[in-house]
Amino acid sequence: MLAMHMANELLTPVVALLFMVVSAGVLMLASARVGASFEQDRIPLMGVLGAFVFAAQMINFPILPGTSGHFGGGVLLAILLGPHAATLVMTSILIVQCLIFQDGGLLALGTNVFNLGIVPAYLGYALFRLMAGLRPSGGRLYASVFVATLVGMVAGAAMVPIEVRLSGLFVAPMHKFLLAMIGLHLLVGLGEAIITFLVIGYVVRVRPGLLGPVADRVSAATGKIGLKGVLASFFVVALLLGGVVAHWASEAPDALESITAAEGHQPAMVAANENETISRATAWQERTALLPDYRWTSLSGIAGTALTLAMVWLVGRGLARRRKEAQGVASRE
Amino acid sequence: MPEYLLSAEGLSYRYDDGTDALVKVDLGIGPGEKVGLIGPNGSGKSTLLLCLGGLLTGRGAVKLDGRPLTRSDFKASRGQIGLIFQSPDDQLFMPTLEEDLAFGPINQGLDEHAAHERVHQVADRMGLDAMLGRAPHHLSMGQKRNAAIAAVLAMKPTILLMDEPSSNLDPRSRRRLIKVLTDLDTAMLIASHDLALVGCLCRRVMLIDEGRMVADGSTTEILGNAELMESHGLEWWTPR
Amino acid sequence: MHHHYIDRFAYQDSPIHRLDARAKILAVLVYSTVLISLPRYVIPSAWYAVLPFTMLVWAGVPLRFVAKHTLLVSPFVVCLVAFAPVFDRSLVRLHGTWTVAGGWVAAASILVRFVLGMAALIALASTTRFPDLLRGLRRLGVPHILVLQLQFLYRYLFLLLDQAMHIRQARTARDAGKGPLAWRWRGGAGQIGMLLVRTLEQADRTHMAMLARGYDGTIQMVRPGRWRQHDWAFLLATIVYVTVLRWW
Repeated sequence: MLAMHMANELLTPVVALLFMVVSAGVLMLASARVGASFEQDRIPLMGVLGAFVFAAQMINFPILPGTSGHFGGGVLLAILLGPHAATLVMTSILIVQCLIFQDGGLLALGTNVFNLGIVPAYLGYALFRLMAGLRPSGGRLYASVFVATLVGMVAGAAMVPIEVRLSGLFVAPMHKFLLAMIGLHLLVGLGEAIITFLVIGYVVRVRPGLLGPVADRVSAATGKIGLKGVLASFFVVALLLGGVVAHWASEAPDALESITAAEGHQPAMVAANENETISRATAWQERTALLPDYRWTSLSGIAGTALTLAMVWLVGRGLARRRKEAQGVASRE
Repeated sequence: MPEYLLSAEGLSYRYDDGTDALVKVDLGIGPGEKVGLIGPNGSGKSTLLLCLGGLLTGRGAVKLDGRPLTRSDFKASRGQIGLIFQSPDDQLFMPTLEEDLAFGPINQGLDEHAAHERVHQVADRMGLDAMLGRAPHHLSMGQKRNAAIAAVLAMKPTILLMDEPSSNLDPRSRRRLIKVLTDLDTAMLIASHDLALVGCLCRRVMLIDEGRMVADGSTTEILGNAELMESHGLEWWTPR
Repeated sequence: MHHHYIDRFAYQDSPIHRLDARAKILAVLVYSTVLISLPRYVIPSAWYAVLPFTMLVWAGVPLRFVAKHTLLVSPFVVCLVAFAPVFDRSLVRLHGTWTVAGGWVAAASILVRFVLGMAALIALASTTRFPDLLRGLRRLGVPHILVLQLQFLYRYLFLLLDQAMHIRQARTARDAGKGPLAWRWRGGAGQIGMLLVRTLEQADRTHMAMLARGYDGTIQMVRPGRWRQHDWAFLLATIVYVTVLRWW
């Protein structure tokens, strides 16, 4: 399971406070915006949609064997409610998860709200509006939702390594961490984009008035993703993933180097240059190393290609099946 | 012409898609009178209640104490006409029962202290005082049902409009509900499939079908009229 | 449905329960902040456990519950922290001549802090009823509309979780596990769609019910409550306690 909620203990007070302040500021603004307009009337809707996203987050989607992701919801809420209300709703979800389910720390709320609420809501919404324009057709609508969701999600997820790095409590090579988060969330984002699109399609059919001004722009589209849409999105994600993996492979990390290079944090107790300690330490190092670095590069290169090929193959199978289904549906209509 | 507490004249309502939910309905309910509203599914019972309560605006007139009500009148007299919906979960939306009961009175302009008193009065009457601090999802169905009624009673209505009050209640809770409603001296219009309940509580019954008022008369006459009942998709009923 | 497991301890009674929500929130915030202000390689001493565990024990919250809950939300941290020894190979000296790769120490430190932090959070959450928490938050300056949103979310969360569970059960009852992945995704999407429709309808009906009871767009919150001596004493004691632990 990928629980994207950060715990307090990965942060230092300064970083936690910084993000608390930033998030609080945005929340104040968003609250004022929502309170001022007629949106007060929408509070029951916001509350219930919040519960919906919360409940939807409990449905797991298998991504790779062994890993599953869950629905985020920030971009969906932003498209349905606008970015201000969406941020409030996501914040409320995070607060409830923290205070009632203790998922995510109290001090990490600042960062979590930023990563999972503010970034997806505002960035996703901006991208969506930019791309969707007026009266988008099915294809264009899907593309807008896809891009908005993917970028929103990945951007939010990418903040985690940055925040951890800023804090410095947990030491890891930033690039690898960043790439890992981005890679994983590309996959999760794909699933989320599809779901978001389907959900919006539903809403347009069942409750067009809900979307307000967006409804006019979306009314032409129904909730169906064409074959091409699915293929295209899989392709894009595979491409991006391939890029991520290749980037990962090209880094020749020497963990020790990357740590000592950037650290301002000098641990108070560092062993002096004693021979026996060094040999003991070297023994430790061998044991805790994952893969000796020189072997990693070629392995990951192969892994990257294999992954992309696997994706294409999966898509091909999915395509064939859809064709059969489409034929079946067509004959029934 | 007897002075009706709540009456409708030529009330009609049409949905967005063009279907007529109500067609020229006339009715009148006197103070303290308990009237049943029966009819098959889709006959317009719920729509009628919503129109009488001012949540839907149809054509024709709805009058309170002989005075026709406009949109703003409805708003001002919220609470005088107490609408109780079918599902208690829709009506209990505050974090604690106490706040739910206080919601109506505070919206009527009562100050905190007075609202507090009302809450305790009504909780006492419905047997809910122990549950005041609880959240709605901690209450049983029967308790929620009582809570929804209490929430409306807290506004001191002169007439209650109830939609399927006994649905989803087990026999014991149902009996308790009947007792509570019997003891109340507020006027009420009870839309229900539960003919036994209607038979117990109401001297008068209205039968509605396809948006039209088909019959309006004494309970025993209408409920016992097999031909009438069956031709409108209902079963006849007589007291045991 | 049985959601009592979430709120159940909050409705008990004890001196801790009776403390004002604001005092508890602030105390936990101060405690957590001090906890994470410790330098990277310092593992919190056992004294840090005094605050959260005193609260928990005095409030009658079973420690098994705390342990289970902590375990439940630990995967992300544990996974992440498991990599620390891999990446942090700087050398750290403990207790004289004993040297360890820094990563192990950092990992241990983060884990210990996590457990303590969780204990404190659970102590807060299981001794304070949610509506009181909300009132406390409001008095501490959280915007009115956000608190309202939290209120509604809380109220309808359990309702929707129930519905989600029912939909899932219905779907599981027809899932022999042999369908292709895309089909299962479709199923998942369908569940979500169904849930959404019910959500929207629920929102409509609630709105109607609110209008019927005079809702005009604003909701007032009742009875804010006052600070008493105990509340001040508790907060002060906590501040002194963490200050001493940290800087002395």
